[in-house]
Amino acid sequence: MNFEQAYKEYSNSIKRVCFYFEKNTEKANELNQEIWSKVWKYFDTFNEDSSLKTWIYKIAHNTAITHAKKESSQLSTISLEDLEVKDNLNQEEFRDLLSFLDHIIFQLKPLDRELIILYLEGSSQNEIQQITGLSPSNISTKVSRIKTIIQKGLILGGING
Amino acid sequence: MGNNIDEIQTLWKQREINIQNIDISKLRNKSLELERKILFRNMTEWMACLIVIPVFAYKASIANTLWSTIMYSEVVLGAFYVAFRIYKNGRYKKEVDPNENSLLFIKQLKANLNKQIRLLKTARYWYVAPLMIGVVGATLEQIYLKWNLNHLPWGAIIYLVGTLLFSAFIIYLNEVLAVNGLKKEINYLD
Repeated sequence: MNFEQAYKEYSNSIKRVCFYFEKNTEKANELNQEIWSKVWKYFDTFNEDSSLKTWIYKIAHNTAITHAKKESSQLSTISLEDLEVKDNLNQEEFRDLLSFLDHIIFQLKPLDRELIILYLEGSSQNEIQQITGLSPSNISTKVSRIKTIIQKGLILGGING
Repeated sequence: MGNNIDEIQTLWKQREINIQNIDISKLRNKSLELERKILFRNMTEWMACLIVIPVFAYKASIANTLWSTIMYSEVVLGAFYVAFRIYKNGRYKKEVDPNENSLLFIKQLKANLNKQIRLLKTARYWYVAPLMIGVVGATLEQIYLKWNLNHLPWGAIIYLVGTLLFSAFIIYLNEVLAVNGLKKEINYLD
């Protein structure tokens, strides 16, 4: 796969990473440029030890963490384990599943944010492990927590997909 | 769960994100621009110190007393020292290594932030003092000399107070504000 094909294949996924790490559209555009500049810069060094998808996601997530840390550090974030879905969810605010997910994801610390994005992208446990560096048991626990949160949100908010 | 995970993932992927597509033909320029930006930022941090050198070297060369010559020379040496410290230990943006996972990446990012904090916390010793000792010493001499001539050295006194206030401000910016900002970044990464 050459660079153009890789861009075509993964550009939408990378846009979602940018959106969830940089809420501001201008900053998200800037992050998108930075990620693809880095992928382009290192593309010739890709040696197929891992899949191209894993390799690009690693660059994307690590660049996003660095890019967002200054402004996001002004916000309070929590881990998946500490996240609680309130019993009085505002149904006006969370009229669909995606707005509920936005509400959840924007509260999370970077590594957990990364994990939920990868999970929703449909990445396998092995891919998540390679990208995040988390242990399989840790990933299982966190994924199970994500499922519980989504389920609770769906029930409490009466949210429709 | 009403929606199974496949449906949720499909919905997730169908979402329209309002981010512009990149122009691949301009990526090379963008990449170079990014590298230039980083290089320029690193350069400016220590180049600012080097501006001080010719100014105080000139003052040392035309000083009337040995004490003033020593004091202005101290500022010149201090500026070299500060420029060297910033160049050697200054702000360093960790470059993304495509082979590193996020856990390792965050660990190294935090180590770099901690290194910056240690450096900033001692700014009064390695940054402010080497530049200000000479300035304060030379100004005190001016006050002393004018006082002996029965002149009220208001200009020199105001200059001295201004220098001390400016030093305190620089210490506050580095040791308090910048350190607190970096601590928040570490907290965000934890």
